[in-house]
Amino acid sequence: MSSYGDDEIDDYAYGLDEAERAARPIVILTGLKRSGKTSIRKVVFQKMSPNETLFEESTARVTQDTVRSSFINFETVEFPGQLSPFDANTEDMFRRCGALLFIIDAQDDYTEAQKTMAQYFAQAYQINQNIKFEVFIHKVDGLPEESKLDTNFELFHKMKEDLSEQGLDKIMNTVSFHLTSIYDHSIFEAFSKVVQKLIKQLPTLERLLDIFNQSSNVEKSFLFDVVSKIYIATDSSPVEMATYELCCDMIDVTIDISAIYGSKNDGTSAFDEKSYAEIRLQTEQVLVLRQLSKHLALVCILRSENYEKKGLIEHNFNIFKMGIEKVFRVRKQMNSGIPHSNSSQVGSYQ
Amino acid sequence: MQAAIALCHFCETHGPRVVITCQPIRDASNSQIFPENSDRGLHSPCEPSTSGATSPTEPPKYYGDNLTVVEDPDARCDACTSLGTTSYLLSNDHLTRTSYISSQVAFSEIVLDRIRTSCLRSLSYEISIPQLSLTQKGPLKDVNASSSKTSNDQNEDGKDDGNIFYGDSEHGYTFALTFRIPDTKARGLQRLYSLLVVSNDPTFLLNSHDFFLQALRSIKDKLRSLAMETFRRENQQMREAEEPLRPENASRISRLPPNLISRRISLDTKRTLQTITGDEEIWIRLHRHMMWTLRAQTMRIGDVILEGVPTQDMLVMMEMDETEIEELDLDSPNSHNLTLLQLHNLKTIATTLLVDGCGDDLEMLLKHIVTGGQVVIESDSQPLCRQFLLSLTNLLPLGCAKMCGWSDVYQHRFMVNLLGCPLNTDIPLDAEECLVIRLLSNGCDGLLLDGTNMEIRRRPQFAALMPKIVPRFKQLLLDPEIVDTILETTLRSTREKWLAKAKQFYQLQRQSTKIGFDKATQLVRATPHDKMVLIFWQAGLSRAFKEHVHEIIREQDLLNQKTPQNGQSTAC
Ligand SMILES: Nc1nc2c(ncn2[C@@H]2O[C@H](COP(=O)(O)OP(=O)(O)OP(=O)(O)O)[C@@H](O)[C@H]2O)c(=O)[nH]1
Ligand SMILES: [Mg+2]
Repeated sequence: MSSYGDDEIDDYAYGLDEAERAARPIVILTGLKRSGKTSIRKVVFQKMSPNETLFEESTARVTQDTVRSSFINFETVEFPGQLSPFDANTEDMFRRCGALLFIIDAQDDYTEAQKTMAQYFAQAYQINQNIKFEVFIHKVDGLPEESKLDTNFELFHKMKEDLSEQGLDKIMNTVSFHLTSIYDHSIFEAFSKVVQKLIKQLPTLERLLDIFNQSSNVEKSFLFDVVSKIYIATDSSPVEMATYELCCDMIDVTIDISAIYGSKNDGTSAFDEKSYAEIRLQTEQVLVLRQLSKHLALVCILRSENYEKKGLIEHNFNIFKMGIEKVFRVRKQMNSGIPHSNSSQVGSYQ
Repeated sequence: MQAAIALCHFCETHGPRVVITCQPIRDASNSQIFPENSDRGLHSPCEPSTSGATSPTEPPKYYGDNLTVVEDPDARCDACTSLGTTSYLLSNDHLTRTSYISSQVAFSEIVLDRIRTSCLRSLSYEISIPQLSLTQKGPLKDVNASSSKTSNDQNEDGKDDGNIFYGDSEHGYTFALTFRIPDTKARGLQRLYSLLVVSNDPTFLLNSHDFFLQALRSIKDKLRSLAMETFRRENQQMREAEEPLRPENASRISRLPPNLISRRISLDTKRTLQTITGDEEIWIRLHRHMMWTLRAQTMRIGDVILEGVPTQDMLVMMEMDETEIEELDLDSPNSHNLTLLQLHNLKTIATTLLVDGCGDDLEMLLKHIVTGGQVVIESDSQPLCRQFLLSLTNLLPLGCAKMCGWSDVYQHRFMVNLLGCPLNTDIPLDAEECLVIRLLSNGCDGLLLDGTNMEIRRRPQFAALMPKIVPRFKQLLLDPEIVDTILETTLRSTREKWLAKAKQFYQLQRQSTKIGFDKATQLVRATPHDKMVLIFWQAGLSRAFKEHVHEIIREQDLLNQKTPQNGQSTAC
């Protein structure tokens, strides 16, 4: 039963046709030098350990990377902090840009960074009005708790002033602020939110998760991209950082255990689309991980008394899985049916 | 501007910056004066100037028009500064009338603009083809990359570094080499540099692609090996100074809070290239490298024009009188057929002498001719006599054949070395070193020597020491397999080979530092037996060439008098 439709829908459309490649949104990382752009990319997408980033070189080249797994499909472009991304011939890039990240080093004086940011946002807005602007107030691990919020507040207001001077108040509606650090899970959390805005099917996915939660008495569930530990959707209840961290750790544990005890002779990891794990906590809670496809996993947390009816959860999970597969089939059909109109819409993703 | 070379750096503070540019400045008959504010510069043949060597009252001279001093458009720190805005390094190349000037800011708006654009492009936008060893896909690559950074010994380039060619007609064309050099205080322990050759002419860059690649690589290797030494030294010092950063404590370090470690790694991104290479003279070194890279190209192209096209024989012919040309039958429209006829006759002479003559008569004749001896032909037929002599001219460079086809009286050997005269002409007995041959027509008329009678009437003193060219000629003439057309080519190339030796010999002999006779002979790869040939064949060199040699030597002498510390000489 688990292999239902897998062949048919080609593992959630991992391979992309050319039309989609052109439509693949770009996430642009900007920020002054040494603000942590490379560190963020490496930690989130290349599994670098935070301390290793101390030995990162300064980035001289405009660096482009592709991030790809079932729902997530975009390019990251990092600009060297010393260059303005608008100097070179980058207009096309901004037309395809889904999110413009500006990373601010919160441990440093950020007046200059704030000025530059306002300028970049205004310029990008002229090229493409659909860009989502994201401010990462970064390296907050070094700051005391109360000053984090102060910083956030101060930056928000300065930005507002700067932009309204230029008559661009409305940009402010699309700017989000995140407090991040590579030394904890906040960077994954923040990136998850950025990525979610690029996923067209997000409302449907959220709805599916809500239904699953209700019918299975689950407290919280996340749909994870396993490799990057970005969650591409969650139910509509608010996200608590601690819960998210717990789920991330759960994925780590599962991957590690499968790597140590389950590796097959041919060297492939035992961690695959049929993986399944559960962990019981002292707090009378249970963590459950179910793999949906090569890249996607459903991780949910529920009270242990609700976990007694395993059969029900299993059943609901299968329904949920079918639902997800349907979402993908629709997308696939749309892509193959009208590939050209799709590519001509480059620039609007939502 | 044919091409300019520049070193660029991705400065941690300022981004891409052109650090130093070397540009050639050409032509213009009158030398001019350097801008007042320069405190560096001296002209010496291809030696970069240093501030101490010239008196401040005497401004340096250079070729080319007045230089426009361009404002430095960029903010800079020590890491992206080289000579500053008021100093220059200058080398004058008197041969090609070119000055090479290295400066932080190029001396022309256009050059500056091109190089700045290209600098940005080479460091931030262009990517070289990945090197073979680094093409593996997947996580393995990352592991390799990060480990090669810490195990600094091999210190490979980043995966996108290397050589690349790019450009367009609007911004000019560039051949660039990007590379990293180690620096203990830089982020990631490395700094990114690039070397550019910028030109308007893509064909020039592509034609010399391999040359530039090699030249730029050698500059890179030099910089890197110097920096590597400093790197090792500083690492050593750091290890000694700071206990906790020792490798055996590594496991503890990884558990330290990040702030503590980052305080340990002391960054200083404003260090100069002098500091990281540990070489105070690094700019002069670079100037010399870049200047020679450009100059070698100029000389390579110059060479083709100077020597490739006209041979010495052609030059000699241009310098000849009418009468001489007529005498040697050079003005005939179908000279090729004439030459073939002459070669046929030459072969006839060779075989006849070998069969009829006694012993070494052929070798004697050959040696006599190539060493400048006089050959006199007595004959009852003027046309045959002339043909005989003409065929002998094929053994000599054009300038060495002083021929007189028919003369009623004897002429001295300093005037004529190939002489024809009627039978029983009075040849003075004291005419030393003279080879007399009697040629009887035997009733033959026409221009062929077949069937004639040759008899040697007088022999010069004959030493058995043979110049190397004699057996070669003999072999060529007697080999029945060699047809006339091939004989023509082989004879010519043999002549040219020895004429080239004579040319070198001439040049060596006239240098102001005396070179011994034997030494010179040895240098041109000849034996002492060939000495006479080398000396005699110098008569075959063109006046143009001789004057050229003299001029260069005179100029050098003048220069050496002015700057006696400089012993370098440039051969043409
Ligand atoms: N404390 C702390 N340090 C961080 C964090 N993120 C990055 N860093 C450090 O910040 C420094 C600079 O990081 P990079 O990622 O190289 O900065 P960048 O923005 O890519 O810099 P350029 O490439 O020069 O533009 C590194 O030493 C990182 O270790 C963080 O969240 N907390
Ligand atoms: Mg970076």
